Amino acid sequence: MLNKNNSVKTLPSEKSTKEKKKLFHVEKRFNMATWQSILIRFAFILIAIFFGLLVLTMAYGIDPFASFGNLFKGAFGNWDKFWEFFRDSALLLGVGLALIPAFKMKFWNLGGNGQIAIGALACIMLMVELGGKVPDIVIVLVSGVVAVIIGAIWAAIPAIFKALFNTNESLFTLMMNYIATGLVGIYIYWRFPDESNIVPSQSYGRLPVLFNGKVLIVILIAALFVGLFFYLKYSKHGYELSVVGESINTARYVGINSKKVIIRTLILSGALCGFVGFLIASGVDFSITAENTHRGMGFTAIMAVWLAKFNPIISIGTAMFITFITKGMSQVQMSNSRYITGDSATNIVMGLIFLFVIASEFLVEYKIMYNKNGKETDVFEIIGNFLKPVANFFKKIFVPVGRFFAKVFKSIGLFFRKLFRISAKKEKPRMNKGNASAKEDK
Amino acid sequence: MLDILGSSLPGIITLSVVFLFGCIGETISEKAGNLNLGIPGVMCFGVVGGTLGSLIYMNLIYPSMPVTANAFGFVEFISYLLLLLFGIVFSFAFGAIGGLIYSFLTTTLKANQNVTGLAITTFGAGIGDFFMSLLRKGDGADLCERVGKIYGFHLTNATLGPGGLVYDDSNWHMGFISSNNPVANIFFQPSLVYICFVLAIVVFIVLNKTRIGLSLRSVGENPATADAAGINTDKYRYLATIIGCGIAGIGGLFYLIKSQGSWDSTFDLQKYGWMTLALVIFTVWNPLIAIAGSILFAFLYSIPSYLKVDMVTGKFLELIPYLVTVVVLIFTSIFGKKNVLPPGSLGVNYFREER
Repeated sequence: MLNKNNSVKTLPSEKSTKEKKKLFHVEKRFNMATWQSILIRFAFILIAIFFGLLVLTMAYGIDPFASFGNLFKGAFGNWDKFWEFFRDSALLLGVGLALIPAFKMKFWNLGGNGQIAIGALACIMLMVELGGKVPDIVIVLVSGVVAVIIGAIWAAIPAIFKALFNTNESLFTLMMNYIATGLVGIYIYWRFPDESNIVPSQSYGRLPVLFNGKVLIVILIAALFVGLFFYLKYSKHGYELSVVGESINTARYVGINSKKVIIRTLILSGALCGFVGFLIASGVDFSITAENTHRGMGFTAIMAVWLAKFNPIISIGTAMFITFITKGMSQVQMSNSRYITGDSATNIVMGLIFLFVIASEFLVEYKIMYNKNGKETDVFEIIGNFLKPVANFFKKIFVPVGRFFAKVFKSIGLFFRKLFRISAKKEKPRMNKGNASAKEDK
Repeated sequence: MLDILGSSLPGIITLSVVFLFGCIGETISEKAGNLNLGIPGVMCFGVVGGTLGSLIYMNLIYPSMPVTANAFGFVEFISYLLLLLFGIVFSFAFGAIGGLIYSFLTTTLKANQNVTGLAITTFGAGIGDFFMSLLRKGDGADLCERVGKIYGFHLTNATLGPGGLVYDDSNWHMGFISSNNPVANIFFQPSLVYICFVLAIVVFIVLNKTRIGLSLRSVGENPATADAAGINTDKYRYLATIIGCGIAGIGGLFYLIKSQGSWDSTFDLQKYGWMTLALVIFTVWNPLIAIAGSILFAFLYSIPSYLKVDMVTGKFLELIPYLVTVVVLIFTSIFGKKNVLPPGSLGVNYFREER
């Protein structure tokens, strides 16, 4: 036994000597410019799309360029699709906005799906029960408020337990998803036993139609966006939650009541999710199903805001990008429905993009150091140094070529000037005058 | 009531094993601190691998393998074992690929675990739907069903007769039990069920009674301390996740066996995958409790269809596992001792140069 202990004790020193000989090692990066990080991510997304299309081409024999066209056709094919694209991006952005405060606080709210579903359920219940008895606008207002409150409660339950007993929030919120969808199922079978797992489309209590059925949702989410942006950036609450996210100990030292902040932020998060549920129920579906009302947006939105580094403004772009890929791929699927079944193509391409972007994050956050004779250099720098001769080579080729072309164009220009003598004559005296005055000055 | 239990329990135990495979795998992964939300996707990987392996065997190595029980002699028995091996190895390998992607992204590239897991789930679902429809093209669907039926052969069903091993459908016996006995039916299971139960016990012993298990748990509890003690945290996290995902992948294969080779989409399998995540919490990261827990989950999940209750009650019964899981989660976090709490650094990546 003693010998064993001794060998364990000697291990760390051995290890540290080994570490020094390691060729590569990873270090945190602090100085990456924004344009560089954007460039890296963009490159990885392109690689992912390339791989996705490669899979589609190799497996299904689909023409990649035609599917690239279909990608755009699916998202912006006609006005209806165009507005649908904006509506769906807005809804995804709405869920993303709900998740940003929680995630900034490092509270892993995986319960977006449940919070949306429960908000939609509350809204549908009111639509069913009050429909035809009170004016539509009353139903809309009441169901909106109730959906927000119910969603807030749904998110507040895990938050309270997290704050008081440090219960693992990601597992808890995950469970709340199933409970919410289960409740939706129970309601459907209780109220509409004859229908097959769906509430029939409700005609009362719909969201008022503005221009077409989609614009109002976009406007509402835009208003939410502005509100949340200022809440996060300029309010005391927004500052407090980011401090709690950085370090609970720091928060306590500064005098922030972290328990209060956690519960308050999650109430906001759940309320926004509930509101999105209300929008879906009364503005898009007018009905509800247990499995599909939330459209998995609670999870997709996590990807969207995470890609945007929890920045609300960049989230707009990522939400639109994800919606674009989803809609476009479903069009690719539709036009090749003979080969592709289910959501497989969409899921593969989405999954690839997610995985590649996640991988690209590493290059943004960390730098790989190459160790040679105890001297460490960034791998990117080495690659840059490798590329330098290539760049110089091209410079050597292209600079003379460029000069040659410049000379050619200049002479052509001169030739034309000689052709149109009038303009040349007008210019020449002016030039002379200028030169003359310059000489006089000297 | 007993009648219903007698007739439903065999099916329930068969279903429970899908959960149990996933649960064992996820437990290993979470004990090492990796909260792998990619389990549904990994199971989809596994079902592809299992089907591929079985089809390779059925197509290339032993195409004339009989489906009916009558011609089940010694050669068939051995070839059945080989088929089982092929299926297990391939589904394990495919599941392990999912685990490799996951641990490469989270351990080496330090990516966020929740996000990576969700991405793996999306990717796996796509891969599962895609390859399953590809493998079942043409006469593939037929073959799949044959494979499913052959896997359905029960090891306990084969007895040693005068001409080698005899498989007799109508009058099977395992020692003293006859098939008319409802209790005996419980043991009338595909052989993977027994493998899974044994695996659960083995994993429990490895996790709790060996030095490797101790190191693994210390990596999950506090990687900085483990690192200081000279344990290679990266290696442990990699291996735990890869092996765990491989085991969950076998669960995907078993899903195909359970449904006797018929296949619709990954929808159900993903649902089982998410239930698995609940099961891990419910069984407080203990594979032994997981055996009972998975049977309870399968019971609550499938009892409505056996009891013929109305849909509202049925839906409520389906809800109970999650409610109980939440209650367990809350209770352990309030009153829990160290061994029933989630691993200390669950979901947190370890980077040595961070404070």
